[in-house]
Amino acid sequence: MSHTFEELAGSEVDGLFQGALFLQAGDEAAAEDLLVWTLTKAFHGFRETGGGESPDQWLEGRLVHEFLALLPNSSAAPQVHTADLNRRLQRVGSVDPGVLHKAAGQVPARARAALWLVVLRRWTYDEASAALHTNTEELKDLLRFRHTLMSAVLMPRNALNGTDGGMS
Amino acid sequence: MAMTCSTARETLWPPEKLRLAGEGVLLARKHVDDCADCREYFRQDRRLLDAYHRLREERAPRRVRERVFDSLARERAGSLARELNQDARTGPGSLSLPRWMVAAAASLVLLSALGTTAMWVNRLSAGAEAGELFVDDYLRRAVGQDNILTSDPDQISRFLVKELGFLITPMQVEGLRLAGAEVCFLDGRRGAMIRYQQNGREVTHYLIPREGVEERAPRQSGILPGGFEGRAAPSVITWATPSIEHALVGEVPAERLMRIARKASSL
Repeated sequence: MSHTFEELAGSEVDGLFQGALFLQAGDEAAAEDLLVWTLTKAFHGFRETGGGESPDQWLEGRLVHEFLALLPNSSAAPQVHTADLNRRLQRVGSVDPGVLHKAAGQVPARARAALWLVVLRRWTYDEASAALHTNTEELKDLLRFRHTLMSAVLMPRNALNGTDGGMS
Repeated sequence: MAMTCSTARETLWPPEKLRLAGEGVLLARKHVDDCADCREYFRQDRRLLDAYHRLREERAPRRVRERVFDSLARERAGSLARELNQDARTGPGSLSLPRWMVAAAASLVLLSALGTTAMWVNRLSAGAEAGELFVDDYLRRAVGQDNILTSDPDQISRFLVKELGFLITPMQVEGLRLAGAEVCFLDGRRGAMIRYQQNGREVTHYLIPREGVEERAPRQSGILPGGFEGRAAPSVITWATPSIEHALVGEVPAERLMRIARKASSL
């Protein structure tokens, strides 16, 4: 069944806004700008491609693409810290959704995008690597910031740099 | 052979994915059972995912939705105008859209150009440059002044042109008195809602632009809305003209609405 772009955007706008909030580390104004900018550009792309086989996933990819395109060059390749690789993880009771977006601010922007796609949106490594224009190895490095995110969620006032071994 | 933490995690992630319990999976599961760090890793994964799923259930603020759909409306109007210009260059016979659509598109081209340029130039900057202020002002008006109470059809047409960017002329049917108009927001689309009175009862005409909709004769909706216990449910008649979905809704007999709809659809 074919949809207009407005129908697609209407069904996805809530989830995309939450994604934009995560990518913009809880900055609502920036998230709003990113969302409007992404959907406005995607409108034209949709007319050409129809969003492919999975228009909702296509839109999420566009959100990440536009987010990364707007980053200053210095943020494009975050340095992965390895000092805390062996840090033992704390036991986690539950995560307060309210602090998740803010906690994302403790993670470099590109790693934030990787975490959003893989950890939160469950994209495969191949899909996420393609969206981030990288390879699986770099993606794994970016995903090591998952521990930083978790630490910031648990201790939002502490700016931690540690990463864990992730899956690599 | 012992499995490393990273291999076990890679093998079993995402945990919700169904996988064959082959040798590697069994080894990975055994590793996780015996490894407190890996167990904690998967616990954290679930907690993060749960937290994010709860967030995704929240609706974006109305302000955000309005801004998105205003922006898309401008883009669509701009595209439509470009297509019309192209059609016009290929010959007058190819112009198949109603004249008001041409006027609509033309009226929004300037808005589209200014608004889009402002956004594209300013990108994410929070600065209040002139273009951005223009867009802000437009949005404020679109959200703030979303209704008008008047029986003057010209005033209503002007209001709707200003708010929606296209010309809509209220129906003129005997016994139907014009009362006002509002901008409505249905399923992500901005449209017009024109209010009339007939024998003290309100009749509302919805007009929702919808690309590609085919012309359809008026028919009574079979849907009986709930929540009208103890009083008559409103009658609903729907039809479509090229690019517009219409509905007449009112607490009046369906036959009466149907007569009005037939007149309106034949105009």
